[in-house]
Amino acid sequence: MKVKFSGTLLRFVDFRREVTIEEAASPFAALEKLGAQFPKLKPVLFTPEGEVRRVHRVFVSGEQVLGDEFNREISPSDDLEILTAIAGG
Amino acid sequence: MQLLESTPAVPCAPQGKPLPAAITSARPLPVELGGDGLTHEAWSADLATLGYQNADLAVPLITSLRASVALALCAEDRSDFNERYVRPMAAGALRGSFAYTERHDVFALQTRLTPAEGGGYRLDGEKIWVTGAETADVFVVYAMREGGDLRAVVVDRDLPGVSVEPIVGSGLPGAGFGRVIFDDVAIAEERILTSQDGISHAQQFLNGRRLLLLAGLTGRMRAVMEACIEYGGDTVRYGQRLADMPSYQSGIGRLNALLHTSKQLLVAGARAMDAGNCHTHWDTDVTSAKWMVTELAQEFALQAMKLCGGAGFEHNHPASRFHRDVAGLVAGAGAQDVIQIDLGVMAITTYERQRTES
Repeated sequence: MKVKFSGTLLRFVDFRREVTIEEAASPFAALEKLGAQFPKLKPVLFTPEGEVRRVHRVFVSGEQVLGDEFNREISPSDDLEILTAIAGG
Repeated sequence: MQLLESTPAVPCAPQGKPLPAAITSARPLPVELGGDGLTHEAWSADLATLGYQNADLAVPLITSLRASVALALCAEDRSDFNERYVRPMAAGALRGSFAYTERHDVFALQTRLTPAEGGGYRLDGEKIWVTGAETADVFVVYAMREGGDLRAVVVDRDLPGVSVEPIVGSGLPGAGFGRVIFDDVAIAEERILTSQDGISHAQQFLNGRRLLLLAGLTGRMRAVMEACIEYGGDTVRYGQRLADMPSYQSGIGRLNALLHTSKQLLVAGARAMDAGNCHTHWDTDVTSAKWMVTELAQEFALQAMKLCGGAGFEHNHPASRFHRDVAGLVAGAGAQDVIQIDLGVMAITTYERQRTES
């Protein structure tokens, strides 16, 4: 399963715009696999309580994953994209 | 050249005009906590009025900031926060500021919350460019706990170890910018905000701020344009008023177009927020509005100074003051260059995604 990243997260995945992970059953499981593959990325993606941080926009094959959809089923042919925009004060 | 003294961070009445007594930081707060429950659109209209009536753009800036901090604490839905902070803030007895910025990105912030013996935490670090720091009683501080866990924490200014050093900007004299230093400050567990993680909390706070900042700006733009019109009406060259010359009228027209465009972006964003049609943490339309209106306001400021000639270069002239004040938005509330990068990334990835699908 392919995962693409925006600029803000690149440094946590060795500046690779696209990485490949094992197949995952849901968007949440895919993010967990990402966190396992890139340990520095894990606390960026997840709160200590294990929830996906709301600043990340996650897309599965072009469709945004909203609210409670992180546990919905996805297929092995799906790809993931994570867009993260961080603003300053 | 006589320098302006720093104006107090409270609404002040310009000469000959009544103080808009009803416009305070309480206005958007819930009615049950002492506010008036204004919508984003109505609150924006209030802030525009403050911007119109006050020569220092910091007045609507600070007024909206205090309200935004109170609303953030209100959103925790805690009775202790409401009684200790939100109600006094609605009454004007407490003033809150947002302490977030450091010389590091959000994933590498250095202000730390370390567990203390016997419970609670010790807070150590430094925040720069804290708006309203000079007169704040309470700070919402973003600090890193173990494991890269950023959290928002409420810190009373009078706690031992909290100190504020003023930072003087080139504009916005009433903003009371400061560097806030936290030296081994004792923080109780209950001071930590728990509604969401610190990164998400900060981004949601800033998302709303990006729109509200534009409100005071549009009010001040109108006042500056009127000052230019007045100058054009009073100034005669070669037997003709400037205001009767097509070149001057064209310049005023440019100001008017910039003003109305800015207002439209503000109103559209406010209505979208009121309708729940905005992304809560980084809205493309709201962020684009901040970027665009800041660019337009800079052009507006220069055009106003061109219209007023030497008078517009006087330190206290509305055009000159506006030129200095607007510069604060180039870096503040989301730096223009960073916003551009984020908007570009959004556009590119959206296009590439759509192209893959088709």
